Amino acid sequence: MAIESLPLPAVAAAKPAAGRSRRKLLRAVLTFYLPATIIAVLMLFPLFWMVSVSLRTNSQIFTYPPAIVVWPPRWENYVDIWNDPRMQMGLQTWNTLIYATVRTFLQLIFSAMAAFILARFHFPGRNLVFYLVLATVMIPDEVMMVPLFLMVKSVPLAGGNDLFGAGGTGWLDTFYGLILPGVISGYSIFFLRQFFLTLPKELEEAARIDGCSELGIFWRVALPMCTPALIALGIFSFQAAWSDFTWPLIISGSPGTRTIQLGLGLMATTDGTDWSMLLTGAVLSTLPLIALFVLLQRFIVTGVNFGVGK
Amino acid sequence: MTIKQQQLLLGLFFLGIPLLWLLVWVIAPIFVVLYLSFTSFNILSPPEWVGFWNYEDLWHDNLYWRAFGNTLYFTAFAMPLGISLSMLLALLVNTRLPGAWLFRTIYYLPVVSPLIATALVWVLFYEVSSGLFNYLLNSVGLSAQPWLNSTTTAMPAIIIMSVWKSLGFNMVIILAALQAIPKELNEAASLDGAGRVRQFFAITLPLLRPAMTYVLITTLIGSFQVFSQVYVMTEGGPNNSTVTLVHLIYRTAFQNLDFGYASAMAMVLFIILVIASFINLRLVSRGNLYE
Repeated sequence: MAIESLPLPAVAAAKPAAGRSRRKLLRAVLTFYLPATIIAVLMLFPLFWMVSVSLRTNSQIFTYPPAIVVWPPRWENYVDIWNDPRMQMGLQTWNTLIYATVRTFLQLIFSAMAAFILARFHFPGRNLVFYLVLATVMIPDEVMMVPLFLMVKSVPLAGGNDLFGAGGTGWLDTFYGLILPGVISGYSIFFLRQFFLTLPKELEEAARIDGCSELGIFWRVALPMCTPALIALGIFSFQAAWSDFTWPLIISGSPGTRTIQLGLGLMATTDGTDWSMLLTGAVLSTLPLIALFVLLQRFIVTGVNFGVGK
Repeated sequence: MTIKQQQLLLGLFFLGIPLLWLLVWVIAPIFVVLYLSFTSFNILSPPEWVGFWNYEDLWHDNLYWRAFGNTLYFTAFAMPLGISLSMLLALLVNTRLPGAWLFRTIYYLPVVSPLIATALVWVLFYEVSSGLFNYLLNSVGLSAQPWLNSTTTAMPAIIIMSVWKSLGFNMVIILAALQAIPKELNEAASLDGAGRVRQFFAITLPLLRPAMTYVLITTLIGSFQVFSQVYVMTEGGPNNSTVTLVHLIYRTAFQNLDFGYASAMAMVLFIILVIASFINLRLVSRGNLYE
């Protein structure tokens, strides 16, 4: 290797430039493009299969040998699913949208508020509060499903509960219960605080001299400057809520609050026969996330670089 | 209002609401689960104090140890396999060649896709009589596997699916760390005659340590909380061979209505995960990440 990379000047000069670039291209193909393409095919195959199966009738799914694609594709599945009484796709999509957008929006607002104060204000106990927030990152959410379920069930004066949270179902099977307990996360406060810290102090002083109120500094100066961070956090949060299964499984009790992923999971385990409908639902619930990711991925890279890569 | 008054009001309001919410919905549950773990509680009648009874029961509960073993089994394979493959992927796409971003995007797509939706596809792959995997095995002359239907192959099947699902996530983190390494270091080493393998072990790997620690611990924490794919793909079966800790907590609480016992299980898992997270924070924050 070492000798090869230090060719004699005369030889290097004599070699035609075209030949060298062709060898370079060949090298790139062999060490990168070829393996990368093979891996890409493997990684994408399950997603391709999801689409392929969603375009079949149920009897076409379980043929042997399996067909890669079935022709003609059964596009009707994508119409039928909206009328299928078991899937209730319209209602579930609506529920998922509400759950994901409202939770994301509230999470961004609350996290930005707390993060702004923790980054820009000086007050006694600030570090203590910050470390408390940081420590909550360690609390695993799946493990907390038992107490959280019971707490949602005993929210006072909700769902037939008395003042002490007894007697009724509280926030169970409501959007309050689905959304509100998850709107605060220590991680997002920490993440945005790191961004607010990077804003130059002169900026807020200049705004103050121009007569901007303290609230105005947050809303008109600090927040707009954190747009990339907010978008990155927003995408993560939206994806997490959209794909969430465990929390809706515990809180939602009826189709009125059932999200798509929960609907798919329940239908697969209780009535796992209509695979063409299941996979059609899977495709419909995957596409928005992939579209969102592809459109906004440059922000995600910012987020990752800022969060952990440093 | 003076600036001081404004700041006081803003501080109280902006920090107060999120902090209150954090106390109620994130911190209080720890104490609720701690209390419940010392009670017998079936939701219909009030919790009854039973002391350490639940923990003693756990110690003698074969199913619990089974779930613990299954979770360790999952972790022991999914973690090293997932991390080393993501490392290879990151090294592969860490290039300036045109089109590299496309491959990064493609490798990340499984991460973006919802877990349940993708798990359904894998259930079809693993189908015994007409699934794609058995077809492929047959066509290269190997015998078909029972996959999700057998106690020996169900867990590996879930592991393979989970590794595929999360490869891209760790790849992106490792990639970000790789790109932060100054190019001059490798160039200097190369002039000194170090080959690419030597460069990787002598320069790249040591500089990746903070990122790798982060990846290692977050993967560990994630592995200990496997639930959704188990719920959809096997429901813990066959014969409890894929019951994981979180799945057992779910079953104990929401199917057997034994909330006290489930709380004790959750408490043990909570302590394990907090210790893991704590190590993570300490090791990763050795850089100036948190200040």
